[in-house]
Amino acid sequence: MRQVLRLLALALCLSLLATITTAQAAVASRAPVEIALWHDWTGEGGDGVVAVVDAFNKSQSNIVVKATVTPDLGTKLLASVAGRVPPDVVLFDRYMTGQYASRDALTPLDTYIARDKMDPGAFFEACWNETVYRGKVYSIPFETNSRVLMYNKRLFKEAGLDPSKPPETWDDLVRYSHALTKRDEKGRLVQVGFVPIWNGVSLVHYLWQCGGDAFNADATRVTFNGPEGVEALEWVVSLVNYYGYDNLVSLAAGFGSHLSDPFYTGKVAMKSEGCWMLSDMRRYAPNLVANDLGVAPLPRGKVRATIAGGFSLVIPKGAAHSDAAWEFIKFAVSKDAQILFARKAGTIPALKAAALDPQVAGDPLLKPFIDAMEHARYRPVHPAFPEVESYIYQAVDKAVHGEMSPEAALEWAAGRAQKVLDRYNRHLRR
Amino acid sequence: MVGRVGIPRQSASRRTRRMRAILVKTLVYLVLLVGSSALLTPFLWMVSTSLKGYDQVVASKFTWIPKPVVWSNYTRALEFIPFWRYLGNTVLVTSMCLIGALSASAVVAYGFAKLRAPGRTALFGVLLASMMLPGQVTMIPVFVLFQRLGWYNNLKALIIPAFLGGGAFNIFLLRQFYMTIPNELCDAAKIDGCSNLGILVRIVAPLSKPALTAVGVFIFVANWTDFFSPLIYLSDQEKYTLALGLRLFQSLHSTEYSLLMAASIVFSLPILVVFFLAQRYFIEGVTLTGMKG
Amino acid sequence: MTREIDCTSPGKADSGRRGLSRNAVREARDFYLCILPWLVGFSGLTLGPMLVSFYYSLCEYNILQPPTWVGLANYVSIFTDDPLFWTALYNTAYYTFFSVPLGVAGSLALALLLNQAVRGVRVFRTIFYMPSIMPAVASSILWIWLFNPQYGLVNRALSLVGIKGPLWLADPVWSKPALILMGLWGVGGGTVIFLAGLQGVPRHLYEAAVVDGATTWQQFLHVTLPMLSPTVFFSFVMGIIGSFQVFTQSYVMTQGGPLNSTLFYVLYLYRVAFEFFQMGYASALAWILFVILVTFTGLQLRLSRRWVYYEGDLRR
Repeated sequence: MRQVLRLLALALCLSLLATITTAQAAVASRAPVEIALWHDWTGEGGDGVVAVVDAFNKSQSNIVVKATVTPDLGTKLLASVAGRVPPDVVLFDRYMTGQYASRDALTPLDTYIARDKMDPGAFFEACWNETVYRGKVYSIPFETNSRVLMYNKRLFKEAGLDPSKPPETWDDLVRYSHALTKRDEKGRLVQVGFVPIWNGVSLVHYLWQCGGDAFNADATRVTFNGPEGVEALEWVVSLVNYYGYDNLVSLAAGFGSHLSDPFYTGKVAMKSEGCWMLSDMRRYAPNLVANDLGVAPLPRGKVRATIAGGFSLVIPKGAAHSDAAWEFIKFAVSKDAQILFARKAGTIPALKAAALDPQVAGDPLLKPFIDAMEHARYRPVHPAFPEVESYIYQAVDKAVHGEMSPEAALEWAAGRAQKVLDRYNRHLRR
Repeated sequence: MVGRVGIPRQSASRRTRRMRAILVKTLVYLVLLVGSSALLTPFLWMVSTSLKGYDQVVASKFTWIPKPVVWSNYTRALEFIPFWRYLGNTVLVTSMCLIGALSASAVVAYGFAKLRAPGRTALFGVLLASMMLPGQVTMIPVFVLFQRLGWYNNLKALIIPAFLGGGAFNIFLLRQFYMTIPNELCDAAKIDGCSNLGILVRIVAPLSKPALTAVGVFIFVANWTDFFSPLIYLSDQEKYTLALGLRLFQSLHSTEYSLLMAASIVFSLPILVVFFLAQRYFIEGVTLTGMKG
Repeated sequence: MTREIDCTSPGKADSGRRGLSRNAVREARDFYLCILPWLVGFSGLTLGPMLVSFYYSLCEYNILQPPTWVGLANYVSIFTDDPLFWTALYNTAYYTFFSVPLGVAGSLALALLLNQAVRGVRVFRTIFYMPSIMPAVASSILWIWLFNPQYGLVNRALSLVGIKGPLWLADPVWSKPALILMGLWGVGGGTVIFLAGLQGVPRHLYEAAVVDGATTWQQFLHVTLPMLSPTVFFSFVMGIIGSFQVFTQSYVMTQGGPLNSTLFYVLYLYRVAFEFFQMGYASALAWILFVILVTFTGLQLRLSRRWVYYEGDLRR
């Protein structure tokens, strides 16, 4: 009897203890979860991130997002993943999705997407596809950008060109460029038309416009050295040679040109540019924007094509609060948040409904960028691509410097790149 | 010292000597003036840019004197980031590192320069070798280690390593200077019953004031401008240092150049002030004149 | 050349060589006490990561996932199938070969100049030190301007004497010389070390030299240089270690181009590690560099016994 009593007393104590701890846990769960968001946006874009985060924090009381601006985000993220202290959610370059996903460093989001019935079709196709690696979705597109042709209407008029008729094709582009080029009495360039190797335009861009691609469909062979690639590089080299590489260098490296674009000062009449430049341009060259800026789709080679870049939201593997992070992601790609960000940052929402909303598309300067999304392409979602692309850059370098013919340069690069691709594919299969 | 016995130089006429001295001095001034104006140009360019409005920053014709002078760039720059907070963090980290690294390297270098022990040569080789592996490949393991030690997102990660040795570069540099101090001085003190610590504090350190000052300047600059360690170890924006904050002026797609230059100048000024004040010790530190020979 | 000075410093028999007397034991104990902070820091914070990186060099390691053992595969493909490795090694050796001697000579010359007793020398010293702390953004903009083929100051000066200057940073032949020239701009840091070293040269040696009728050049050669030799040695050793790891200039200004002519070793390693996520391969690259530097520094240490003069170094 005594023993039974003792046991009962013990059980009572234990259950009391359990009740207390569960009660405490309940209290703890009622306090909001704080989750960490890392991003590297400053300036207007940074204001946009802050606005979205504030709106989310105000919209509910369970989760508090704490945003941290991190310069050199890539390195820091790598270290934090290796040290198993990743943040809960990261706004990172969508281009990196394949790099991280193939290394199993991101949380696949398909379960969340299915549970909350997120519609992939609501996003621009190129953006969504860039988040998919081997059939799984690893990031949610947050914003995007495309490239268009920007041109200076005043310089068009001076050269006797009709500013309402921007170049339509590569041939037009060359013709216009010739007309817009001015040299001084010593033969030095004082003004150029379109320079295909400036503004970070990769050869892949021209390759797409020729109807080619970097890899074959299942990413087992590099294909950038095919006839399309050779045609694209030959075109690039011939236009560069028209100006003279030496002359271009001098024009690009003028004092102060690092601070601004020679496009602002009328030394360059046409360039391929993304919408991220608009806020800078409004700040540094308000007169150009107000009076002389023309925006048109990129001239086509065989087809029209533009690159769709931009940022995505990801949940690193091992994040402490992935459910809360997903809640934030869902909010950040809702129509209102997308419009809020786009209006602050001046970029294109990844959500089509937000991009087409008059509050965003009503901006006449941004509209052509949104329209260009129709022809948007994206870089292969494959971990080998950055290394492969480095060889493409080297091929362009060799051809432009006349060290090799375009065809030979691409052949050389493809040889190296194929090895790289094979190495990755071998390793991925393991 | 070498040869030249024979005609005593004293007989050279005093006038020629004076003339030569004046000539040399003029030449020195000329070189100094030309050189320093060349080196000042970029700094003046930074100052000029920091005071320009947007339109002047991108103007195709460069002007030195901004018109109008936009003083407000400086106030805007200091508001663009939590300047005073970051300054406080930077001062804290830099001063702690200065104390730690300077004292540690001064002591460690003494060991390598003045004390015999089995294994010294090998350990000195290891010290040098520790600088030969690019930090890019040790960064990840160091990060993981610091994280396990609980230093992640903590100023400890920036400060504690300074106390542990003070940097191979500084140790090596101080060792080179200590080596030039005659051993008789140390031995004499030892005979007087002075401990090694006493010798370091009373003899070696005072005689190495110029070198210690130089090392102090290096430590100060290295920590004041260090971008990388704060970047990877701090994840709380409130803990950022100025070097990290300075990067926030360069955004992905656009840069506020005037503000960046204004902030860079404010950032660099303390270094110049410290250098200006410290350099008297490069010159007026105790010299060994008359102590040997 | 240092024989005369050697004679002035009294020789002392190395008593500590024989066995371990009580004094020697105490001295050894004090040595280890002195270097203890470094020993703790090195073995606790540096050695581990170094060994780990060596292990990585024998692995396929992408940072995000645990490493997998591949043995010597990384080393084999570096030596047999990586033209960029050889390019980067050549570029770096070229850079080191010119920039280290020029840098040491430049900072020594500048230190001699700034050691003159002239009015305002403190201000001059500060100005000459400034470039070495200039933020990279500012200095890169400046140098891109200076090296502009048509409008830049460098080529304009050359054209005054009838030389048509090259494209500098955009010319695969001239890009390395351009970066070497640019590196000399920051000799202020080395100058500080030499200035400190100059303070330790006893004045009476110069007085004796003057009495002996030595010219200024002879004084420099036979007094200043030998007395500064420990500092010169330091500058060479650190110069080689530093310039083999040169990174920032090409990373900021040329990104390795044109035609990979400024692809320096650590820039290549950085790309492999952080752009291509091949940390194992990068670690192998790093350990090859490590072996190169250990060899070089070992050689320097050996040679130094012939030319570096330590007033206090009679104990080994």
